[in-house]
Amino acid sequence: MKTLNICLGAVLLAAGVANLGCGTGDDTASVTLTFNVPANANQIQNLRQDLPQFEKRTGVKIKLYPFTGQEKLYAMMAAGQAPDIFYTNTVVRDRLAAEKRLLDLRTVSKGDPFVQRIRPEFIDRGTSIDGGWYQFCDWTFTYAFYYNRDLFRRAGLAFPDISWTWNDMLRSAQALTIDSDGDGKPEQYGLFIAKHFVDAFEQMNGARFERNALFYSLSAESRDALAAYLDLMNRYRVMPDVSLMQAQGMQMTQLLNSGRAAMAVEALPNPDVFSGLEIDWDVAPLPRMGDHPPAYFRSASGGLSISAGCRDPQAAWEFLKWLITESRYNTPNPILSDVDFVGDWQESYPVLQNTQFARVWRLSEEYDGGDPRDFVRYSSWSSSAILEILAPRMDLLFAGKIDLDQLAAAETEINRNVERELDKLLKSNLDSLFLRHVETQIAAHRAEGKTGR
Amino acid sequence: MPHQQNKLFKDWQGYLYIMPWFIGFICFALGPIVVSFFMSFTRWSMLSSPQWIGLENYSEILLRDPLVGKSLWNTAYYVLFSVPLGIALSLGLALLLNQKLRGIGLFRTLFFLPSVTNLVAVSILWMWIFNPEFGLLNRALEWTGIEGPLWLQSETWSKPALILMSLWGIGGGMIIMLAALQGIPPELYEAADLDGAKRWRKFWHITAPMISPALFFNLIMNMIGSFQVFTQAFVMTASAGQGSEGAPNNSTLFFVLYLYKKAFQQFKMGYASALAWILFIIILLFTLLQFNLSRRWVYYEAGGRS
Repeated sequence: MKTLNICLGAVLLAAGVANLGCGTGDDTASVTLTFNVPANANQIQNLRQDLPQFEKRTGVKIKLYPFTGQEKLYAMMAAGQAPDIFYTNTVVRDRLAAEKRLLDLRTVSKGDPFVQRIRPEFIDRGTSIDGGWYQFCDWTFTYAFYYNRDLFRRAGLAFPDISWTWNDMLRSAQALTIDSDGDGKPEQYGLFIAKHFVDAFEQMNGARFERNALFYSLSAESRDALAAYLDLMNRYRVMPDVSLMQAQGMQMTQLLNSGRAAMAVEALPNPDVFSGLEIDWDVAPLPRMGDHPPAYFRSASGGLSISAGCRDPQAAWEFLKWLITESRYNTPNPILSDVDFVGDWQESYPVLQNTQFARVWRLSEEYDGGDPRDFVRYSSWSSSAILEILAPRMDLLFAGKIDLDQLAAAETEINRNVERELDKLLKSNLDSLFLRHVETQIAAHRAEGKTGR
Repeated sequence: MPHQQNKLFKDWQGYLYIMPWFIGFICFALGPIVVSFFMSFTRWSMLSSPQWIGLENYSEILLRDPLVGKSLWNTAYYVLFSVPLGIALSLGLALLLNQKLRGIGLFRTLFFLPSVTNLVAVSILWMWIFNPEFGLLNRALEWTGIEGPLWLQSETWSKPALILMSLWGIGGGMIIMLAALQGIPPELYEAADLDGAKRWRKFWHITAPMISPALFFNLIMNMIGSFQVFTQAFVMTASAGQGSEGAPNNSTLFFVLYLYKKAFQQFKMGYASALAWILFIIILLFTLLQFNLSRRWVYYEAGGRS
């Protein structure tokens, strides 16, 4: 029995040692790149089917890992197992670049004519304060009002067109709001704009957001846009309570399909919305606000980055190019200047041919206002310090518990928190170029006498 | 000496058998505990090497960070209501289910089942229950003429909502109470009956002391679990997107949720480690206090009061 136990122990030990030595296995085979892919199950399935085409042509194998959050990506990096290609948003991008975790794409794209095909603004938005291009923007979208044409017809209203204004929108919404029993709870609301879309209206109202700004300030334009937004709910009552809608977890398609709202803001293009809407619908651009020149929302908050430790950066670059040109992952891709994005989408989704999709999209190209969403509008270095104080205040504002004056008064507290964070950052061992930028901005902020100290 | 060596040699098989657990304990429990203690004195983003900053994390937590106070208050509120409520209801249920009725086993299973359900799935289910317009809860309130609140979207009602939801898991405590109830010798009740004791006196003078160790165990475990409340707050308040956890207005920002945000959203691992150690000390103090107080009310059959 004793001998048997010894033998068993020896076998287990040997198996364990052998397993430790296994490693990744096919080190001698062709290059294998890992791609932490930020896509839904359908997109991943399509990509898996398309990959052999790339692998056959280049001899490079691609392993797909679904992206499951920034925290897991960080953990993989900390463990020295960063994927070769992964998703980054603008909040973490600068930080990762300063930690020297990202490859500067200029090193692999130098002399490649493909770069000329990318719209310059998307290279610019993937560029960090040290001038390095760290993020390959792989998609963009705009916001639009989706509306129910039948309800407009029934109310005898003209459909919104590309020149409509905030006041036109308000008048239509008033005409479309129906409270037949007069209990103050309309059965049909004129419109719905979820609170995370309000940033785009600040932008339409002339608010400008400096991408690398470290400190928070509530501009007059932002404030007016927020006031106009709150009025839709509290003064004109053409929009349901945003907290209630969030508590109900209602999707925009449910709101429109059920006739609960006649218009609602959502991303464009959005295949889920196209397939989910069961009404006669069309799209309109966000309305012009005041005399401000239009600045339509155009997302560019995230993209794909190549790890600084990538085993074959050139192959990774070739993969990125293939991804947005030949695979079914986000193609045809609007970041390329030489594709017929509108035409191809209309072909893929014939329902769009009967809408103003093309006109709305072209407006967003012509008057590109950038991406002012709250989670990407502040600098990588101060975003969390701003949002951890600001977000609860915004909750209170939308719930009607504080007013805009009280929101503006939070500026000092927010920036005090930012300064505390930046002081710590300056003591860190990050890349000095990034730290110099931070130092310069703090000095400018203090020189303006805005310090929260 | 040779005798000791011989004994060690003879016992090596035993050591070999406990080795898997021991290695697991070192790697996944003791190791991280020691590392987190060291990290709590550093600034560390996971990606760069940690910088030693002494007590700076602790001084920031205790003196300057306003969200620490808020998250501690939220957690204390949760503990204060969910623990007594949970214990009272699990005891009540155990008393009801401690009957000799046909099919009682089925009822026991039914009441126990929710406590073994995955908390993420339960949280999503409760999000529907708390839906202000279509949810079961507000529908039920509507039938009684009460207009239900916004629950998870209301700063006032979000914590009560999570406390209410915590009662879903009382089945675990109920089973322990039930086992304790069934362990009470029937002779004690027979003697009380002979003495003419009424139901309440029997409960107070026999049942309560006899199950007091189980009550104490439940109290300690519930208290520790409630101090560490995380999953439901994380799942149920994150619907508005990343960063919204703890909304509205940080009313559901519990201590561990705050710790998570610092560690895995802001990647301040040193700071989060310090938060973890502060929570450990708080829980330790409350546990010691409970042990101290238990001498006055917990009765151990073998040795009288503890």
